[in-house]
Amino acid sequence: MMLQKSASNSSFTPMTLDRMGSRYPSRLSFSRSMLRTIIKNNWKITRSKFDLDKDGYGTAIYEINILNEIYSLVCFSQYLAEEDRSDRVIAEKWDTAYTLHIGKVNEKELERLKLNIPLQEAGRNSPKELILSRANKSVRLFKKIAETLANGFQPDINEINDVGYLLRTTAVYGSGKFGLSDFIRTEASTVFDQPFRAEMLAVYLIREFSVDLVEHVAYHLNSKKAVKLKSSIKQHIGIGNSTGLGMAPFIIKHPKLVHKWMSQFYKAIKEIKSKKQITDDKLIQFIHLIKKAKGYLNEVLTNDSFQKKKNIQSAIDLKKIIKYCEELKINKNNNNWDTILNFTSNNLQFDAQEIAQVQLIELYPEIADPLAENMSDSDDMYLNVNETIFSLINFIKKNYSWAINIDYSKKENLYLFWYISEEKLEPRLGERYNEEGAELEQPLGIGKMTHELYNFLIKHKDVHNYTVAEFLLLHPKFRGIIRRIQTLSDYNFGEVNDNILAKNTMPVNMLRFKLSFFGASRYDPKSDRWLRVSFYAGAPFYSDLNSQNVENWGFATMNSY
Amino acid sequence: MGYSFYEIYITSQRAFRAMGFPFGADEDAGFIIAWLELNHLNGIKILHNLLNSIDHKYDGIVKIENLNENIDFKNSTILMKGSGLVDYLQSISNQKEKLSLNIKNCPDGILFLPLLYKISRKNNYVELNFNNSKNKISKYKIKDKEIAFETFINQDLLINNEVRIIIKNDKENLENLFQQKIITQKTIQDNLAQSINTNENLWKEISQIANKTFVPESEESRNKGAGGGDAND
Repeated sequence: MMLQKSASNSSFTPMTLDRMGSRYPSRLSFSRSMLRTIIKNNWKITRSKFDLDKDGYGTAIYEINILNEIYSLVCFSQYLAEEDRSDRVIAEKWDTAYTLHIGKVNEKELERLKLNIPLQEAGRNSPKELILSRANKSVRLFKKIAETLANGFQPDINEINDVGYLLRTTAVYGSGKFGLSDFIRTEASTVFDQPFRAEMLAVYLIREFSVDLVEHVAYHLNSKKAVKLKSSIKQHIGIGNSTGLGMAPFIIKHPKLVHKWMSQFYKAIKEIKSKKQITDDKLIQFIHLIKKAKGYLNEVLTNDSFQKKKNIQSAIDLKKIIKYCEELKINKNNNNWDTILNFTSNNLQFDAQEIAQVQLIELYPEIADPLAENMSDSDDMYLNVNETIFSLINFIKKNYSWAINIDYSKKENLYLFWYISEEKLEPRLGERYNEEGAELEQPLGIGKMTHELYNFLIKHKDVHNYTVAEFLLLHPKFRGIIRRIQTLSDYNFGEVNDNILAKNTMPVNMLRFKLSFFGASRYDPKSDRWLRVSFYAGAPFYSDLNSQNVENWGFATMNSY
Repeated sequence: MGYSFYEIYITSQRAFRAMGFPFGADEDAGFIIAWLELNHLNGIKILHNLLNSIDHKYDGIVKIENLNENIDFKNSTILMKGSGLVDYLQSISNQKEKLSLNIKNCPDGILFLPLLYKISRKNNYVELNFNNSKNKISKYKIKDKEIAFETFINQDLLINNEVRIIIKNDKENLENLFQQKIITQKTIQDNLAQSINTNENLWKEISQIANKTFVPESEESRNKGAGGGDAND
């Protein structure tokens, strides 16, 4: 099977699903910029409470001191019966639950949080809480590591690499969900003014807690012999995450934000490509980074055959980049980065092209890092009320050919529908011709809606001279799609250029796209609709974090430490 | 129980969708209700009072034959017709220094306020007047995303359920009109810092309507969803 189209066979747009499903974390990813901010702004993190029993059940608090502000990650750990353990969003109990709270937590607030946070969606939060999350222990790893440490030994790093984490989050909520602080407030009145920065801090501290927890349990198993995890082994531990369809509609519903992320990424690439010549030093560093990525691909594990093939192909492609760059070095021609990126886009699969770009960005922090601090945009959509319908038709014709040329009378092009599940209010995918509920479909099929609008406009010549405002007075049912199309005329990375209702849609591609901007690694698809990933795998823990190591943990391998 | 702005918005928007509002109109109506509720202007209560008249009766069409005459909403709600009309006014206000329009048979004039607040950054001054049924006119003056409010005795200005919208683009200094500000960026942020407390019974009823947009998961979806089949490793 052909894994992907190569870039030479398709006109370049990074917003097709197969391309989106090939993205990797970069220096602009939110986990990277969050960790950078800890160092740059001298955030101080202390464990102010660690009230756990011998089995590791109880409460812990990590306080983050930022200038004159304090935030608290409050962790609740409880016994979980085997039959209650599930990664599914409909689970009702978890090993651990968390909230990131604004300020220091007093006893009264702790009581309130204790009553609500372990309940997750069934509890209530206040605007003083930024984040709500939960995590389950890795059945494969947690107990094993606790027992190994209790016996005075260090675990084999290969065992850690097999799983990747001690705790696995199954949801990290923010932005007004379940009573949490709305992002418009978080952005204006806290230090978390970038998208998902508070989420990424919470996840980083949950990782800290996971190690503190396993070491605590180990100590109480055998206080005389127990040892702590060695830094060089510990650093390979990430925090796991199971991600399902909830992330996919986000990309459709927040197109301006998606555009912002992508445009910042391509601004970095454009500026780097404009550099006239590559220095030897930079080229050597680039080759080193590509080799590191290749090493990561050789180590990363997945049972998914499609992902396995992608990883193998990517490793082969990276070898080609290394060879190409080494020959460039020998020839010492006046080549620039554009030459190398052109080589990748003309000869290699998407994954390798993406890796080349993210590793190139690593070499230019002075370009990338300021861009990473400007990743936010409002969700406001607006109409260009004075545009004529004639002009709108031409715009659609020019920019939405991917949508208007699809034959929606064919079942395979309208096969899927997106809905909100009754059980946990989460987005789900249904099969239109096999399942009930299509009449309650969410308006996420942008291609289909654009197609309907376009055909209506083409057929009604009498409205071509109307302004959009005049047209919408008489045809208000097109309000949503026209507003979207007009808004995104200034946001060329905002729209997924594919029909996400088609039978062959791989939603996991959309998940990977978003996860790459979060900074997730170790992609392990479990179906076409959900996957497991790790965050912060290879990142220094807070006690080891410093300005020298804060940036060099991307594509970490077992021998990176 | 307190709610976030997001929760009020998304639940209202879903309720509108369940009641037959099309994509776009449901978002605008949801925004109107959430914004009013955030600013203590009884969005949920107004929505609740209107449920019977809007449920599966969506009609957002506005026919304007002559702008110099009054527009007649024929007692249809602003939740359906308001956003189209405000966009239209915005489109023609660019060509005029001052635009004034009366809308007859237009109950709950306050529902225009969030829409006018949204467009206010594009105009020098926007004003909303309506008869508040106590023989007084409520006047909301909007400029630079700030709103001042006053009431005055109706001097045959507006009949019951009549609304007047004024949009000015001239450069007149209007600072003296803005003594009694009731809504500013600061009041909005202050309100966001508190949970929004709304009448639980009304909220429950609206939530139940919103719930009609949800679909029970099929077994197949369940098995393919996150955690399905491979949960415990």
